Amino acid sequence: MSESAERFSWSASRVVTIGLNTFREAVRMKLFIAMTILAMCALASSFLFREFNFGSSELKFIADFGFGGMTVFGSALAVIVTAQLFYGEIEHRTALTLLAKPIHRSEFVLGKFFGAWATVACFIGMLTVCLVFALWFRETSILAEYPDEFEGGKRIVQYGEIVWFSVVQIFRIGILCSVVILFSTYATSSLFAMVMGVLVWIVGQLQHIAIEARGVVDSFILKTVYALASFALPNFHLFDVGEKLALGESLPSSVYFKLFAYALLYATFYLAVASASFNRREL
Amino acid sequence: MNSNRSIIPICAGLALLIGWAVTPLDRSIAERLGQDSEVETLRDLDSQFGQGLSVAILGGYRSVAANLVWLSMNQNWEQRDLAGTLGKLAFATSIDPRPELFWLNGSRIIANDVPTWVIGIDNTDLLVESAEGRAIASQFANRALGFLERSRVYHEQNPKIYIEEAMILWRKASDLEGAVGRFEQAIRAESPPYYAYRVYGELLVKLDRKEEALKLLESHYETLPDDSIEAMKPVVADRIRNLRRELGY
Repeated sequence: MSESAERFSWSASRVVTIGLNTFREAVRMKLFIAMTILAMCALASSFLFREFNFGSSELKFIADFGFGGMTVFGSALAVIVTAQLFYGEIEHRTALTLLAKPIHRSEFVLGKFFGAWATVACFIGMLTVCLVFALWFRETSILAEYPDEFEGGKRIVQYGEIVWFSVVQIFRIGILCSVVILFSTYATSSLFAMVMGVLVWIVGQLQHIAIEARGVVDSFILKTVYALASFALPNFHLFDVGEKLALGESLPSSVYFKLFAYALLYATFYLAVASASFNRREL
Repeated sequence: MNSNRSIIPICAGLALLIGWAVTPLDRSIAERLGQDSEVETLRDLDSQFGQGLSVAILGGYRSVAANLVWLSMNQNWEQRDLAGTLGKLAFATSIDPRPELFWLNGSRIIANDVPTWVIGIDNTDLLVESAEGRAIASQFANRALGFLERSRVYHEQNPKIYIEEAMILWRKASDLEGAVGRFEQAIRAESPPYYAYRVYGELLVKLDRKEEALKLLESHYETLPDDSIEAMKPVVADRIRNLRRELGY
């Protein structure tokens, strides 16, 4: 970092400015629009696939489709958009122009993170609105057709819990975006950052299996390997609360608070490392 | 080479430290959410359906994946493929244990259909007449009961599961006392269906506990609505009259 850059103080407003610009740039990306349309089509297809639903109630089936769309498409979007937005600046040399101004590199990292995170949060928000509308629409028709199925004519879908599910997914995406930012600060191509992001997503989703395996193996070496695997990455499986919510259960606020703390801790750590790494990077 | 690579070992160490530090938080969330082991589920998914379904489950399309497995199980059932049917029954319920249909239909397949496949479709009479046939029927009845037992975690207060167990104990395992216990649990569970009382009453009559059957039906009769077809109020009234006559009241 140059000496002149060290002289000016760190500013949250610059982070916000970079974040807003990143967000504006991201929502104009064809990829974002395509993913949003694709996820909405996937949700709409639950109406077509309901004939293939043998088990759960139709409303739960639609909710599952929506939850699936949020996690799968949301995670994919988080990885691609974050890598493109961050590494794209390095690749196209626009980061040099930006960093020539009085901007700390950590401000740049945080601004890019918040911009990417806000983009995916926006995507999840839109999908949530569509899911709530789809459930409300179908529930209203079922209510009119089979009023006896609803005790006292009361609606059974807990719309508030669906919103909470979305909030939890936004926490999860926050961790994923910060991981991709971290890899982007090391990467020599955006593809590398994307591939690493996808790998972290998959491994993080399976991380609880390493925790289980650690408890059942006897070999010290295997135990150590599983311990390293389970400690090294965040456990994304913890954010899969849709199953409970779809069962009609409400989760206590302490669970949401813990999930928030978990996400905050990991995201802060990855962003701190990303800032340290980016400070040392030769552009 | 980028100079930022020099901090990789420190970062890796810190990542492990954070992972270790958040373990209690991780465990407390997992325990509260009741997240179960998925090792077997994922292994079965990969071996039987390819990795596409594993990704679907990991991504949250759980009910969709379970429905596909259930659909595939029906194909095995049509072909009377014992291993395929039982494997996929267990599998569908492990992917998505929420739908009661999976448990109820699954237990019926195990208790009713599978024994006829084992003994041969032309020898179904032997399931009642021969000792070997009865042993087969009893073996699969126990297996069906074990299958339903696994649903308890998800359907603890579901009376239909208790009724299904009672019917298997009664019809397939000839354990009438066991069936009585399950009916007791069924009518104590949340919103038991009207027919649970009627069938339970018949079982008590079969066990020659007519007094108990009468008491049960009389107390049940008082709670029945007049305008519901499922409640079958006139049928219950008839049965009460017959029982009173038989008992000499």
